[in-house]
Amino acid sequence: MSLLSIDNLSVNVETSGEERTVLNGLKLQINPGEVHAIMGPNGSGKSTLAHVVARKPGYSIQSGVILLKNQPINEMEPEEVAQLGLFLGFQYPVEIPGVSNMEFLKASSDSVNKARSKEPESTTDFMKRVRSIASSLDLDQEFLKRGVNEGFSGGEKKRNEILQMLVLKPDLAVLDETDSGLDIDALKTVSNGVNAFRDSSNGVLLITHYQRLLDYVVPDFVHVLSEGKIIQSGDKSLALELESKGYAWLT
Amino acid sequence: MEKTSLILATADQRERWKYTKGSDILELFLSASVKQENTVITNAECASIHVGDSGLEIEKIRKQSPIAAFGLRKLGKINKIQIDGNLAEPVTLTQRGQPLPLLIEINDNASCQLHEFVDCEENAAVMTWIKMGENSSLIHARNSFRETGKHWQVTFNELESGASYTMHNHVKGSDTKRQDVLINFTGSDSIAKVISAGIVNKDRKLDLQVICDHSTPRTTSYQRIDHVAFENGSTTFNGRIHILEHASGCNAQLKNRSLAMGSETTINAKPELEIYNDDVQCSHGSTIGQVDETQLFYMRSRGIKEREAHAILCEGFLRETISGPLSASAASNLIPER
Amino acid sequence: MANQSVQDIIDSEKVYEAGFITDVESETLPPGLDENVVRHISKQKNEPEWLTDWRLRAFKSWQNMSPPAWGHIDHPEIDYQEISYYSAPKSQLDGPKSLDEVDPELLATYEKLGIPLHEQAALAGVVQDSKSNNVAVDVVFDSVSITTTFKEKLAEAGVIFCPISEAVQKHPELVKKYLGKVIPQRDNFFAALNSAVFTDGSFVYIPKGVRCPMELSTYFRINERNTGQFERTLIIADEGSHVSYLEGCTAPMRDENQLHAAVVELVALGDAEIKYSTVQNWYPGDAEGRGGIYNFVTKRGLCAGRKAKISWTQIETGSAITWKYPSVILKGDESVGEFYSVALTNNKQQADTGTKMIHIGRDTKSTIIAKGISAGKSDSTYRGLVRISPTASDARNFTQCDSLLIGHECGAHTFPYIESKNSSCVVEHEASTSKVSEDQLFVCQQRGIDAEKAVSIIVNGFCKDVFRELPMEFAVEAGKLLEVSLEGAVG
Repeated sequence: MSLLSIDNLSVNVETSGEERTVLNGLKLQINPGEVHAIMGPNGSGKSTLAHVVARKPGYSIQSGVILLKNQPINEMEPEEVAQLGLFLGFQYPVEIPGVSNMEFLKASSDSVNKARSKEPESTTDFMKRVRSIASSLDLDQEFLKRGVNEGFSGGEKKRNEILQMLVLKPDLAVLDETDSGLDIDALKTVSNGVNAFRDSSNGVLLITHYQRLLDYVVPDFVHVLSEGKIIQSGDKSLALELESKGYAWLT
Repeated sequence: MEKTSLILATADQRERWKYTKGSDILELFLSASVKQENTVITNAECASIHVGDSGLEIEKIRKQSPIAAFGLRKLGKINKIQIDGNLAEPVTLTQRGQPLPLLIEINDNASCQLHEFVDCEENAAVMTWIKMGENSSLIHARNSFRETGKHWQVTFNELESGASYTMHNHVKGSDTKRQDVLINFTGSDSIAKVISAGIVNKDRKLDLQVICDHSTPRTTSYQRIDHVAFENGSTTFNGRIHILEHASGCNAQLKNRSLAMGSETTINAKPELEIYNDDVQCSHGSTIGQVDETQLFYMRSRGIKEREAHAILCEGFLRETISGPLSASAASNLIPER
Repeated sequence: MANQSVQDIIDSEKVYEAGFITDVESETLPPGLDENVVRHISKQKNEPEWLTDWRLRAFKSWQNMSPPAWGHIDHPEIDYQEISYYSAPKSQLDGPKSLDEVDPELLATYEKLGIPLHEQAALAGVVQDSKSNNVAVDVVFDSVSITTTFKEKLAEAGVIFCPISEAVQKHPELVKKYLGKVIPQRDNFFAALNSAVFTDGSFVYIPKGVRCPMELSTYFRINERNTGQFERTLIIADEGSHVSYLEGCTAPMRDENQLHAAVVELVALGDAEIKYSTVQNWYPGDAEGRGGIYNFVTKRGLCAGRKAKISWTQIETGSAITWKYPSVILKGDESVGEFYSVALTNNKQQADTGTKMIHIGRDTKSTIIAKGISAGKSDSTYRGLVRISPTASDARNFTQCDSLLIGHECGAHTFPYIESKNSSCVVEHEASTSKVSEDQLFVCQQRGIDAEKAVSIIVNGFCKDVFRELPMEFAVEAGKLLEVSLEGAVG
């Protein structure tokens, strides 16, 4: 069973009263145990893909079906897709003052467990687990009491996304430019987190602008997205070629 | 009975009573059966005296609030508490039924906490005068959660030099619920903070008015007021900062947020600045909105159901102003169930 | 200079440039207001009966109304029977056919005021410079429009820009359709008064889809002693059209206060845009608060159609007393209302001004940026209303009010009213109060800038969000006006 199967996906988005096509016949398949990377110039539709798969409002699917674990998700609510096993690492994680990181994680974890008819983790066990993951990502324990992403630097916000991923244990993690704005140490920490996550049953979709991340999280497949569809696919060497030749080489 | 229009004689007073019927409040003084036992006080001695002997200047009160002056005349007597020294135990006030007005005098250099539970079963007007001596300090926590009946709670504060007053107000809307906090800085270098969290459930009303009169130099006021309105609820907030001509070096801040959590809500906000001195730092901000869409999606992307996400965000909103010694009971009363 | 404090600067007197009087024969009615005066005004203008009746109805309403008392304004009661309601310079009785027929004294007055009538001269006789600004000017002198320039060019585009008295004769169907529809006669005391005795003003009609080829402009003067000026302006932008209108005013020095109660109605149909800018420099009274203009104006725009847009931009530095709230009714879905204002008060001026944004349609948006500068013993108040009706889903408002106080004797006040009856709206309001700090002044002075200029620079910076919205012609004038108004005003 594939984790993610997208066939002939076309998506429109509405900006300032006008509709334009952002994804144009996109095809993609991710199987368990695979790490895929999607690269492409700005405006190619990379973030759109991530948002559409996570069912963010504001996008209209014109054609094509998205299957997550063989279930069509075109009409699902965002929380239903998340409960089914999708995790989206945001490019710009939002701050939620007043709602503590720990409380947010517990609410999320409980919701996902409930949807899968699993018993909720006890608070003590849960907090212990979260603290240990935080520690592995170099996040200060104190932050768990603060508001979600409140007062975090860019690097801390991205590490918080990885923390959430490791706590929630999704089947497919879509990471939208998780590496942007990170210094080399933060990049290594985040990459260690992703590598610790990946196993033979789950999958990762890395959306990235730069090759650099892929030195640390080595992908099985690399795709180039341009003008709303995938125009070239290959293995990790494709990423290296892109870095030396630029996108213009392909488009 | 004198007509409301005569009592609310000035344009300013009519404006202040625009969203709550003054006549509803005036009636409270006429129909109420006042008993001394209606106020239960612990950890402080209380004596009831005639209004005339209290030292309160009725004419001055009439200018600030003609309805309060009317009430004082009708009720004739007032409870008085005198606070001296640094009290280790909080003074608790529990208001049931229509109480007598209350005068709290805090001596110079004294400090204490006041925990007030406004729990009047029927319609009631609770009037409190707080006179704070030099360098005194008071932390006043007030919870008022009755959702039926018509209620008015008015507090008049006078702060002498160096006095410090903090109010943690937690309130639920009712058929009519009006709260007035009038603060006058009679001595320089004094500080007042009013932090308030309020919710209005279906068809309930809340009208909160805070006035800070900076009549002396180097005084500081801070107003932080958040309201949540559920289905058909109505909330009004009027926060006034008044800096008089000789009050230089003052600092006055006001932040007000209103969250519309249901449909058909009515939200009124009027943050006012009346400034007659250029050596001031004043600012205010007032926003009305709903739960943030980006925050909502963030939570749903983590599997949290939409309804629950709304409730969590509403709680997060309220937790910024639920504060002080009575915050635990405030949280359990104000925060909606998930 | 380095030791000159802000207080020193404020103590010096400001000179009012435009303070002079023209000696022109003028036919003025004796003071007093009754039904006969109303009929006389209507007859002087040869108005059709429907309009005379309209005026009389307004007069009757006015008699039963009283002036508003809630403004933060302190002024002696105005005796409406002590004012003359009509004054026309005699040589205009037959109406000029061209500039040559205009009283030369009048033209000299306009020269002194720097009104660009010479632009018409350029078109008439001199080779046209393609870089010169195209501004059509409708000049009003004490109640009667003198001349309207650029009529032909506008006529080509189908734009009607003429005195309202002319529009009543030539385009009665348009006037009848819209007059009093945005501001009904009974709206308030001054609107009722104006509706009864209005003498002249501008009428503008932009046809469907037309972008008015030039900025339209009107200048006013109040000249005669004890004459109130009651101009009435009506601007209609039909679907998809666009117009920018500039209103600039000056008035001579007088000892008695003079009343100015104008009414401006704007109607923007679907996809149309009206930009209305005012640079107002009425005589503010002397340092003791004597003389000066009482400026009580009702201005309102109606966004009648979908995606209509109306912007008010105002720079107010004159008037003894200002009472005006240019407003926008956002009826059409997705319509937009904007209000940008700088109000400067000095000496003993009082201003109570602001705006009302009434959201009725869906997805409407309003922006309010108001800057108040108070100096001397003046008092400046911002009063704003943002009202979201139950039907106005997804309404958005952003308001920013800032006050700058110069000195210890002035006042700056902000009274915003926010009333929302729709749960999906987002309203954000911020206000702050500050002063020109001695530190900021010193920095400028340390860099060689004199104190007065320094204050002017700082104040300009404070106002830049608003100046940015002015049409270029006015932006320069506004900056200069602020500098003149601040001369000696600082403090």
